[in-house]
Amino acid sequence: MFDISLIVNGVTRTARVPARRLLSDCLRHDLRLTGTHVGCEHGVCGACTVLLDGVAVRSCLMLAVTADGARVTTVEGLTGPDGKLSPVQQAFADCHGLQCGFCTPGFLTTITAALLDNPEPSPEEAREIIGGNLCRCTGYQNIVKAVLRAAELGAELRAAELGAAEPRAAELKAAAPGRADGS
Amino acid sequence: MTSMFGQPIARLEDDRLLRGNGAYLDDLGHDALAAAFVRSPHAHARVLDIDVGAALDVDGLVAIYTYEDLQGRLAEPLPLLIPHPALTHGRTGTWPRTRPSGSLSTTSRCPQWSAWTLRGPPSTWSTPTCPAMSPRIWCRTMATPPPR
Repeated sequence: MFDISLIVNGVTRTARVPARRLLSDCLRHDLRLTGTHVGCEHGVCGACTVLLDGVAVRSCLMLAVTADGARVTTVEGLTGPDGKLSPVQQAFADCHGLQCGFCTPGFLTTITAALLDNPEPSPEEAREIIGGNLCRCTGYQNIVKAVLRAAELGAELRAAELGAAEPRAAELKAAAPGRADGS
Repeated sequence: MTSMFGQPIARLEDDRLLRGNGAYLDDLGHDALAAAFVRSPHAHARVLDIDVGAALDVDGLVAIYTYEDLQGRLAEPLPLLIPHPALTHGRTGTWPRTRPSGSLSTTSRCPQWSAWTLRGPPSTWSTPTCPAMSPRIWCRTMATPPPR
């Protein structure tokens, strides 16, 4: 068993896990953050997506022990400190981008990270952004709209110099060590 | 109510789902126990006794429940699904494997016959649908159909 320490949604959390425990299971069962969902358990569906140091990763393909010391952002951490929905979350609500909601946390984290890299995607780029996430309910049309709406709301937010979620995620990304591929 | 036709109706669950507070099945029951149901490996067997002695030694076992442990409404027998008085046996689809005597007085023993009694004498049927209509009376529980 390993004692690991993660900074999850800004809060230091510790857990005692065996080496084989997946990050998704650690978040869901050891830390009781059940917003991150497990859909396929092999990295295809995207429902398990979380941000690791600001970068979207498949938590079902990671061992919890490899996240020791990292900053993890789950869907629960996307809201602002005042509890307000982030631009991406609000966009999904505005555009009816969810039905059963099971895939939604994975989309929210993926889109949050993608908009940090590309704050004003074109519709084609928006489709590209969500290409790694599966949804069985909606048919994706409204999710694409939600990506574009999120970009709008994010731009409004930045323009108004308000808000918490996006700037905080940007800080995390800026504080992250460089990725192996240089991005 | 008619004013709502054509109007979109706002969903109430989105806020909770967007925050990651959905209660999907695997999100629940973190401290729940696991249950295993033991069923009879023998069809049409009559259960005489359940011996749980060996199971009590299993590591981590919390409890074993058999029918005797049920209380109140749970312990009441379930209602029969086919409440026809001709079906005297508690298990649907079975009837005593006794050879019909050949007379109409044995209608109470066989579902085929009970269907006959509900529909009236065979002479009133337009097409024969019951094998009991053939001159030699036979019952499907018997292996041998009547000779043609």
